[in-house]
Amino acid sequence: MGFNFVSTFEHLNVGVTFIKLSVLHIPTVGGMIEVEGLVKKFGSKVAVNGISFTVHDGEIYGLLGPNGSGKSTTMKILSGILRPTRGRVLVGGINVAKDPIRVKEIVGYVPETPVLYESLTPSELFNFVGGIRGIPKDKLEDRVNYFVRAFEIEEYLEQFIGTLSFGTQQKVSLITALLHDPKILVMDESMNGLDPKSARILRELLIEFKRQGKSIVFSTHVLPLAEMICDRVGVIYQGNIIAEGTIEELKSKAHEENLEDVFLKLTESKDEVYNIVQALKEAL
Amino acid sequence: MFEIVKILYRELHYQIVKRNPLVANNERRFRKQLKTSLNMKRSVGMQSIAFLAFGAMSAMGIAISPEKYVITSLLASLALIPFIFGIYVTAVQSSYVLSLGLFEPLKVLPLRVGALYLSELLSIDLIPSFSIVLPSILVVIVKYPISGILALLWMILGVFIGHTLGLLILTFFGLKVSQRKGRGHSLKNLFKIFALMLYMGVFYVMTYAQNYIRAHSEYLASFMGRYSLAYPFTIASIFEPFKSFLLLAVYSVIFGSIYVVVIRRTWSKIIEPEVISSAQKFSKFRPSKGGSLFALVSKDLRIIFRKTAMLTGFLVPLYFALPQLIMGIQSGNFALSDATALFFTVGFMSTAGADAILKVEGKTLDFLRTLPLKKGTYALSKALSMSTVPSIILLLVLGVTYYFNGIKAVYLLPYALMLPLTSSLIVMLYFFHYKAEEIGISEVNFGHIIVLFIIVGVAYALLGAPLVLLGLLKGLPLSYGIDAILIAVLLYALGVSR
Ligand SMILES: Nc1ncnc2c1ncn2[C@@H]1O[C@H](COP(=O)(O)OP(=O)(O)O)[C@@H](O)[C@H]1O
Ligand SMILES: [Mg+2]
Repeated sequence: MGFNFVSTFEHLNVGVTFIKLSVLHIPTVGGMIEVEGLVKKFGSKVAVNGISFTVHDGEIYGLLGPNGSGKSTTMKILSGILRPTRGRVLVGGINVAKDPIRVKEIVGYVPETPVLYESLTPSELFNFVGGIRGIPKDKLEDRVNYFVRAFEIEEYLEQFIGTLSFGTQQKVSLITALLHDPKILVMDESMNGLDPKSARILRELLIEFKRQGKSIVFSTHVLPLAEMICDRVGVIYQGNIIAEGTIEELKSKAHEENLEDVFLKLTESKDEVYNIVQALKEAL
Repeated sequence: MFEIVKILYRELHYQIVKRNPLVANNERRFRKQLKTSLNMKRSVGMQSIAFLAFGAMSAMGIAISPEKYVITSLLASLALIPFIFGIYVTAVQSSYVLSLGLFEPLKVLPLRVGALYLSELLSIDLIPSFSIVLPSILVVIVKYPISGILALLWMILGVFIGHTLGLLILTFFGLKVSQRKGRGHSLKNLFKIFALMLYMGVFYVMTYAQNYIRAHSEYLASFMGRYSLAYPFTIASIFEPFKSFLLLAVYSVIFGSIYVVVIRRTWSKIIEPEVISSAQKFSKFRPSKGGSLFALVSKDLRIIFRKTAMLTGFLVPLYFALPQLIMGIQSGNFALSDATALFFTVGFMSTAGADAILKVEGKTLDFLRTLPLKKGTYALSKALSMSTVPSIILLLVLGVTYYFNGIKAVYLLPYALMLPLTSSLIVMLYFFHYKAEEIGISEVNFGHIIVLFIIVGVAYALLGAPLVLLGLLKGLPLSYGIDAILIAVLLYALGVSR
């Protein structure tokens, strides 16, 4: 993969200077995700109701769905954090139910809301994660410095995480998930707190990861974002995948022009939204 | 008013149960555990009963002793318990409660002194500890009604003083946010720790001062009476009801006013923690070396030393060691056998650090779970972190021992490291022996801590036996041998060997 990373960023013109570009040149063996009949119950509550999907090497898969549809639950299972109730989930060929620790070794998971040690500094946190993941010192240094520059958080490196803004914490959380050069990236609505510039950089980064053959699962309810970066999307609703395909395929299937309408139509909320809006207008 | 505390209590215990590994993957058990844990009356009742049984033992001592003098000295040592509980629970538990974000929703409400809810919430945890002293007090009430009631009031006051001091510690050390770690950081922390020690030593200092005055001035001595003015020794005054009542009133007024001032400060600092910032500067990331154990332990220590209120949990052994040490230094005689006894005391009391070390992780447990971390490694790291502060204390004691005994002090060096490690490993085996591989932290209440004290006590008896039977110097090698085997077995059981 003789890809020159600078070119990806040049057209961004965001004034970021990069050193050590070799960091991202390490060719990676692609991972793959296979989900078959995945069910996750919390007591009697069925959060995920028998979904199946596959994410190939070098593919960005978007999991779209309204609040409470089971996105986060699915993402946590893919990352080895939660155990499936039923079904088979292979991540990079490893069964998450059998060997969650090995799954965690190859996955980078970015949670919806960053949960970090507030009385550590980002530097200390990166060293902490580096220590636990056994990342060699020079590789850790290169990667941290690289991402820290890309997301422009140099000035916060020695500041306690608890005093950082939500967006900055989100960036720190994102970087911790990238330090070990994961084959598979699981990102749960991770763009939410980012400013436009950082969101743009992340987007380019994801596209670069894809070129390296990494598999990326990406959940969101921000539809334009999905439209921009996902190769394929699955629409998840009440724990079921109700539609899957490229965005073009979904549009033509649903006979709608933009993804938002496709989405509302699929989740059977188009009329509902109209009714609610009408009622609101009358009430106000 | 009580509604809010109820909600906070439920939320706190919900957060705790959620992270309990024993029920995490078993919905039925999770619900059941949730039901019992969220039931305040039941929880408090159960714990209280456990403590009552414990307290009954000391009550027997009081029941059979005919001398008032013996009763008061027993009561004085008992009175330490609610006091220490007060400090400990307030300083450690409130740091935890705040780090869980329990008070975040309250910040937006128009409350004048919202920290009162913190006091109330903590008092729910303090009630069970009170039932340790209750049986003894009942016995005294039966024997000498008025004195008994005074004793009860003193005990209540003791919890209150402890709670107030705990709030002071929390407010001055716990609720500060410095934006970045500066150069003078470790120095400042050292100072903080020193201040903390002073806090805890202040009551002893008062007593020694009194002894001094009593010895040097008869006039002053008669003025102050035969009784120590420092809690918990004040409890000796219960057989002179009028004096006792007066003292009680003075204490209540003093600590009542301190409380009123401090609780307001606590609230304003919860709402807006003091931010210590310094000029921003760009810095470059520097990697540190070390594997996962090192990463985990240094993380724990950093957090504990930064949230100084949590450090209180580790200084409990110091509280017990200080009088012995001061007495030794004062008398100019601190024999090797004295040092050994002190080593055992400190090592044994270090068990109390269990609660604090397991509370380093609150919500962040969710972060740890995203990392490829084995339970055994995590448990071992917790044991190492937990034994660090007591080991440092023991090394200091060793220094004193060296001063009085010369090179012979080195005989005790292995104890400085092994005794706290033994206690810590026992504690971690207790909390991490569950089947699942997931990292989780079960609920730690004082019932657990007492059980742990008993288990650690048995282990220590085993280690101390050779010293008693063979004499100190001859017994030491055997004692070390036993300890080494014990540590190896514990490590194996923790699954570190796998
Ligand atoms: N720990 C849990 N206990 C009980 N129910 C849960 C838990 N986590 C999620 N759920 C439920 O599962 C469903 C899916 O949640 P989630 O995966 O977080 O949705 P999304 O991320 O798509 O918004 C929701 O109805 C939620 O209430
Ligand atoms: Mg979600």
